[in-house]
Amino acid sequence: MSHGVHGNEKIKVEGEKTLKKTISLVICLLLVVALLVGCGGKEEVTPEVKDTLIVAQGTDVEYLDPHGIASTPAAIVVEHIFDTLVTLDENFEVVPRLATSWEVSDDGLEWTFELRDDVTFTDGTKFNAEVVKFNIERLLDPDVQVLLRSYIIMADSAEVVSEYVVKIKLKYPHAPFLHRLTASSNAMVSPAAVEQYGEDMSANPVGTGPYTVADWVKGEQLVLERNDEYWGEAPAMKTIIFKPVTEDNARVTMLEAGDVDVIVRVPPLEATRLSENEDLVVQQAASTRAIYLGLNVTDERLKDVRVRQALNYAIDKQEIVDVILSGAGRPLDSPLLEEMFPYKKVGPYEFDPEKAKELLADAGYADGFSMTFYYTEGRYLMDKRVAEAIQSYLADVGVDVELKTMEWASYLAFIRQPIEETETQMFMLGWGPWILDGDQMLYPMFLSEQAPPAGSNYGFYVNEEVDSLLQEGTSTTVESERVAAYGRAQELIWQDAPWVFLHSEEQIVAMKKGLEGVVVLPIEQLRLAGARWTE
Amino acid sequence: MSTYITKRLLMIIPVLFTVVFLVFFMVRLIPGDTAEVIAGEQASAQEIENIRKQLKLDQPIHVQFGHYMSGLARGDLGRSARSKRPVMEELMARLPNTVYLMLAAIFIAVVVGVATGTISGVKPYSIFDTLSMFVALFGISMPVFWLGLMLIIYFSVNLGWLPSGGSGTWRHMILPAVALATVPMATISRMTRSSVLDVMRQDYIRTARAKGLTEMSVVWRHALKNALIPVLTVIGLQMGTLLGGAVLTEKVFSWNGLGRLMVDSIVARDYPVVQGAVLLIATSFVFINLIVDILYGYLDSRIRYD
Repeated sequence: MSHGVHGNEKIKVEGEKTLKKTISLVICLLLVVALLVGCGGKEEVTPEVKDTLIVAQGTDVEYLDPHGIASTPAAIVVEHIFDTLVTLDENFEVVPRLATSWEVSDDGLEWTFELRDDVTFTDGTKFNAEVVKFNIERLLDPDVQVLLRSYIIMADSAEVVSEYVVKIKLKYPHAPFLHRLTASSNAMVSPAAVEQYGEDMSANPVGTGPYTVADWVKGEQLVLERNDEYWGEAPAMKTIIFKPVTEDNARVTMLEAGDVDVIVRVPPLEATRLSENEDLVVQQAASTRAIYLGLNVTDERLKDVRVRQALNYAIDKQEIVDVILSGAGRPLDSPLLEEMFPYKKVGPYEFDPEKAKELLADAGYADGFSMTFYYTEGRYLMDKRVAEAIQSYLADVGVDVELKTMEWASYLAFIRQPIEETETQMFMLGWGPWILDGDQMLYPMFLSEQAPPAGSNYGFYVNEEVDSLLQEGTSTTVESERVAAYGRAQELIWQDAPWVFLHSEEQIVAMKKGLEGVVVLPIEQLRLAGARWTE
Repeated sequence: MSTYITKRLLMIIPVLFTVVFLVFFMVRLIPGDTAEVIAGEQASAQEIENIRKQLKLDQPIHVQFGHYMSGLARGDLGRSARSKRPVMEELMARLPNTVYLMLAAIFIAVVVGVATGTISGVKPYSIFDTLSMFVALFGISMPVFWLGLMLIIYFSVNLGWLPSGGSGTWRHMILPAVALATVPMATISRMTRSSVLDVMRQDYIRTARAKGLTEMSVVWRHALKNALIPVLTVIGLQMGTLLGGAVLTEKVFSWNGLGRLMVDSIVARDYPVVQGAVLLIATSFVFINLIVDILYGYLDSRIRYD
């Protein structure tokens, strides 16, 4: 740098100095302002009267157009904004909602529903038979993205009989149809809103439910306000706020710190600790999510039923539930769960390593064999520890499995390979239907034609008798015949052991003391419309 | 100067095109399929095929790329596969949070880094110097996700002072900002030290001292002004590191910003959002670099671009 500065040059340098100063000052100011803006302004509002409920869910709600949802967190929110024609009550019975009564024709092809005549959407649209017709047609429209179309695909068309009577025709007789209408993805949306918002329907959900969306900051919070025009019993909570908190332990910490009122998916290990906290209540409820070890029955060794049974005997499911899940589960004793229609207890496979070894020896594997066991981490309760436990149980009977973990999207693609390309041998998966009719469990998982890529029979299980029983169970509307067909199917599937039947998960929900009326349904639903503070 | 800026602006185009090209094909190379992920495990094959068609994923990849580029030319980043909202809307909803976090981090990094660096530079080999340079070395070497977890364990879980994650209030910002600030803070501190050390040996400092100025004024008015020019370079470069670090930091602290959106979108194979986010980050990076380069011209009169 020059020392002696004269004349014009000096002025230039002075000018540059001022400029430099100004720039530095502006930068500093910008930083400070940005910092202040970033910090202030977003203070959380604490309500004066206790009529607000803050719920922390595990994942963010992505989509609120009911017809396009497939995730449980979205379904929970949808159930508070929209109504379905029929719904499940606390005893898991199908009860009226927007429909007051229904009847089915003798051939099982025509379902006639009488509708409520006092229901209006929050945009002022009147709810009537036309609306139901519109919704059924939208659910069947191939141009609309309906992820759970399998819940409505049997419908063919809808016909307006009178203003408040609608007839839904089916393509083929489908006994669980009424149950299917309880699924959140089949909720009724406002035709006017669909017309107005089109693809942006999700950002502007308009339903007939007890709440409406007041504010939605993606990734941060979703604020529901009570719908004062609601046709049913007015909910006690004026506001319900859903917050996505991905980390299991973060949800627990937030509840303990009082930042939220209800948390779902409490890690089993934390449940005991939380239940000792006097300010909190832990609620444990059954769920229909079954965890199983899928077996590729086309594998050289796994095609022998004795081997598959041996694997079932080799694993102590009760101990996995007691120790790893801290009791938050039930060992499976049938392909169906107790809450489902028509469950029949056909198991369990008692833990019996000696019997397992005998069966393996019979099948010619007295020295055991090695195999690869695929699973995904962080999706099911304690999945990694469950997989490791299974590995050690199997090692005890001479079956050496190598554990391979994959991230969910890759895992899904891997499992869904068709029979010519599949590399699966043993894989751990969960299945949680949204309805309580056993059809949604048995049909997609065990019917031979549901093998990938068509459906979810990922192990390529084939049993012709099971096939015809499942077809019978899904099509006949005579209840006793359904019970008989499904009962026999459960027995056969159990004996064939296309899965290692593990356990069903329990849902652990924790909340602040003084909160009542929170209903947890086995289909992983959280109903908050009846929730109220008692103290 | 203006020719230089024009040249630089024109160079941005091939750079961004390369980014778009690479990202477009790279996300599609990851095993797994958007349609399968968003359809969920209960969807039938027919429905997955339907979704693939709606998302235009059934078309040959070069056709998809053509569609994407023609949309891009019109300023359309497409729609998110998961939320169906315009990608631009999704990005803009998260951008402010990332910017706040970065500014807070760079603020902490500059204030602490320059202060410790200056003291170390003025009093080299003192206890303070040794200690702060050791800490700085530690700071540079530490992965941000690990530091983030340690901060959560100590300040949120053990002490219960600050929320462990989420965004919304200033209290949520402290831990992620500190975690994110660590690497640039350490770099700035070390750079300031060596630069101050260098300047303090210059003749004009001796002159200033000879004039009888106080040590404070020598350091503050004469040394620091020149010592900070190379530091500015480092700050500019650190902005890029911050953008990368923000991805991990946001994930660890559930901060609702671009980085977390990007990670979540990769997990869900939401290609349009991943592409949009990378493009936005790359664009910001390129422009920050340009601005820093232009600023040198003003701050250091020896640098001329034409």
